[in-house]
Amino acid sequence: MKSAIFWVRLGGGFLVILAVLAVAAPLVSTHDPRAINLPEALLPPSSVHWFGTDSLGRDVFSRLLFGAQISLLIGLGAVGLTLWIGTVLGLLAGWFGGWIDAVIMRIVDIMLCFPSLFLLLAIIAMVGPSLTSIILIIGLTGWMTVTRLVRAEVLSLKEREFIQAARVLGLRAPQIMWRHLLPNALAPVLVSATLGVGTAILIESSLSFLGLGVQPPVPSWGNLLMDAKGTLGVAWWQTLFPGLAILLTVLAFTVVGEGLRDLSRRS
Amino acid sequence: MMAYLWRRGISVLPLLFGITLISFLVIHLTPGTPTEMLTELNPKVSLEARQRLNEIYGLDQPLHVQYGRWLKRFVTFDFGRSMVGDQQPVMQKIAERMPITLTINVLSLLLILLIAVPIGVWAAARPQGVFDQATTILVFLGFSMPTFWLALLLMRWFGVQLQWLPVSGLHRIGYEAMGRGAQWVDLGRHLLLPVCVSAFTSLAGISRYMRSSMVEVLQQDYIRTARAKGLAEHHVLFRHAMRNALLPIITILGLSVPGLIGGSVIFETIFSIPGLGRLAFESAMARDYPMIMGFLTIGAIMTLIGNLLADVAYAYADPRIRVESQR
Amino acid sequence: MLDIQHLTIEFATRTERVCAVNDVSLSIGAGEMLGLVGESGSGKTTLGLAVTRLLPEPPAIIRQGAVHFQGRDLLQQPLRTLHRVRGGDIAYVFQEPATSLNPVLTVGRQLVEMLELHTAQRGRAAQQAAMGLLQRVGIPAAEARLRSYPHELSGGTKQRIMIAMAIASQPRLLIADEPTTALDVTLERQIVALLKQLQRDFSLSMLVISHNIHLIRQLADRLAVMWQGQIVEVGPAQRVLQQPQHDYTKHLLAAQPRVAGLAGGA
Repeated sequence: MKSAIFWVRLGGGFLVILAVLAVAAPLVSTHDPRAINLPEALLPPSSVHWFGTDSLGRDVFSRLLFGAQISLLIGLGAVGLTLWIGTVLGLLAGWFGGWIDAVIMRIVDIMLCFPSLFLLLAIIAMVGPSLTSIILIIGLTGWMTVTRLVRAEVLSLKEREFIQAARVLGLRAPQIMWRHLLPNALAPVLVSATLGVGTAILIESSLSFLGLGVQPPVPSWGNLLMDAKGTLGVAWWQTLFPGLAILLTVLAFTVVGEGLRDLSRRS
Repeated sequence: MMAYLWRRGISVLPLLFGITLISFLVIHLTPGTPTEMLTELNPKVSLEARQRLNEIYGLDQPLHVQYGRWLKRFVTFDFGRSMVGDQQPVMQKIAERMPITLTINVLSLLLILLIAVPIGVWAAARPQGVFDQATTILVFLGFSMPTFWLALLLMRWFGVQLQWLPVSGLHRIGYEAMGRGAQWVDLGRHLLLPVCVSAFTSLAGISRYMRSSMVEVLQQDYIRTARAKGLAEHHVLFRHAMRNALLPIITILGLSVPGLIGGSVIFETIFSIPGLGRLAFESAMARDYPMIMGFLTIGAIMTLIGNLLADVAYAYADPRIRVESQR
Repeated sequence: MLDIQHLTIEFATRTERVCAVNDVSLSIGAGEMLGLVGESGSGKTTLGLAVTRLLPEPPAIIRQGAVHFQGRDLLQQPLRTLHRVRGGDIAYVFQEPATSLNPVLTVGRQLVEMLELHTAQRGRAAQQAAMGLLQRVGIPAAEARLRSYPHELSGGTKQRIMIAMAIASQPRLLIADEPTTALDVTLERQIVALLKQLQRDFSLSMLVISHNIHLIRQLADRLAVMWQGQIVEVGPAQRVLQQPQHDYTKHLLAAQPRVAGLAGGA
């Protein structure tokens, strides 16, 4: 089996290329992703349309590229939010203990009782799907893991000598948290965050596929597949490419995350 | 053991309370009142009519009063009536759909156990071997696969191209006229794809956990004792190691319950199965707020029960908990 | 009865190769108690496990050597033969009774398993035999004990059960690796007495591995000193203890706390 570094580089390389393509989508794509062109509907992949066209004649490849923008944006945004909420709550729970810890962990337990897709559906139904609402909602329903992680790290670090030393020296809690606790708790949080982006992308594409995520005509890998559902038997390219895009991207994040986990465990 | 169960049962109560609170807050704290959602698309609805709707649903009362009333109704599982269609009571609709979702989820749990456990055991028995590496790759694919895409692919392959399996609904036309045996077979054929899709992602995770659990168990002293006794390796693996390695898996299975229930939204929608997940999806699309509260709360309670069952199973399976130490 | 010839064992990790046992030759006669003394890392445990190839290979590599037992070289035998020898002819008692028993199986189950594996006894007969074994090793209320789980029992009882399992098949050789290290002094004395009793009753040969010279002193007829993978001195226990030849042996003996009134055997 190849080493952990190898996989991190491979996955990371793929992600870098993807990010570049996504950012440069307006320059790289071959067609306008929203241009409806009915006469050219449902064409198989060709030298003109590399990934074929969909039922409205739109170029799948270009839509895929712009969809990458959306997916990465939502994935990173949602995880950013979970990191923010989770780290704050985890620090508070771990450091102060007592009733603060009890309350926060209780909330975590309660939130974990809700099947995430149910919760997401419920909130989206009330708030309505939009780019911001999706990022917010995925973030608001995914912070629990990070909280537990950070709390566990803080609990174990709290008893270590260098933290005791810092307290004796009179450093105040926020300073200790920021300068000493956080950097040491970083590794598992980073792993969780990397894996989390993959999960967020899966969630977003599921929602978009169901029609409750990114709304057409904005292209998202998920809603590309929603369009593809109708042409399942005839236009295999409509189903294959967006799904492959999701698979490979999430795979890359997973591989990088697990690779990082291996690396952090060794050192 | 009894003391443990008692304690575990009691700890459920605050969680139940919290569930009702969150369900309530999700609906009532989001911008726009629930009735606005319904009526905003219909400009013909006058202001008085809207106000009357608000009165009917008690939305004009202060928040904590509303919560109190909701809590009281919750105890009798009265979630009100659906705002959609024939306006059946919410609980009734949920109760109709629940058995099928439960069945599929239980079946997929069984499938997961049947497949993931042997995979994990075998991969751990020969670490870094060909089987182990192959399963690691499959596990990663399983983690990263969008289930709805898998469902579409399977649908296309087995349903459309090969025509082996039906792709929608639970029964074929003319089901009523078939004999008992044929009915079971037909149900089975309809359930096959949904159960497989439901099991797929969790399968990856569980076989991975099984593997690492086995690896850890195999390093224990009592395995060395078992080998020193002269036991054949397969006895060591299955009679001694596996039973210990399965213990944490019970807990993990319990933790995968919410994921399974949530996942039912996807495959029930794709395969047109009339279950809880599809109900959730439809009511979300229709902004049917009493139904939304209903499935949210019931979904959480199902998870709670699932976790409880897993804990009870664990307490029973592990003699260290089941039999109180008398020392 | 057991003859180890020129045994060399290495451990290969990703970064380095360590020689744990270096060209060791040792023999144990019938009915004899051989004590193997050394500090941690001397290779004595590895040697003990290697006798029936209980070492995971990899990372262990048996570079050379032979282990002659009952006319065969155990290191060359197929697994099936080894399985029969393990537990049947050569039995083990390990250091940590708390972790050496399977926590999810009853003690009775684990004992009966041993009996069904190596003797012709089954079912009822095996249960009876198991009870007999427990009584043999000095555990009262045998019937209730059979139904107990390891976590319900004390360390001393657990170690007695390990010994009961080991002698269940009436082996020729018992290899005890640090049998009393995890126990307190009173228990140690009891276990020592038990081992000596069993040796007399069954004409057992024993290989007792320990870093604790005091323990070896009470048990061994002959004594071998191991240091950094090699046997540096071997001979009759009395002689080695009172007239050590090798520097390391002298060093080891000197390091033992002297207790007034304790000289030679127990």
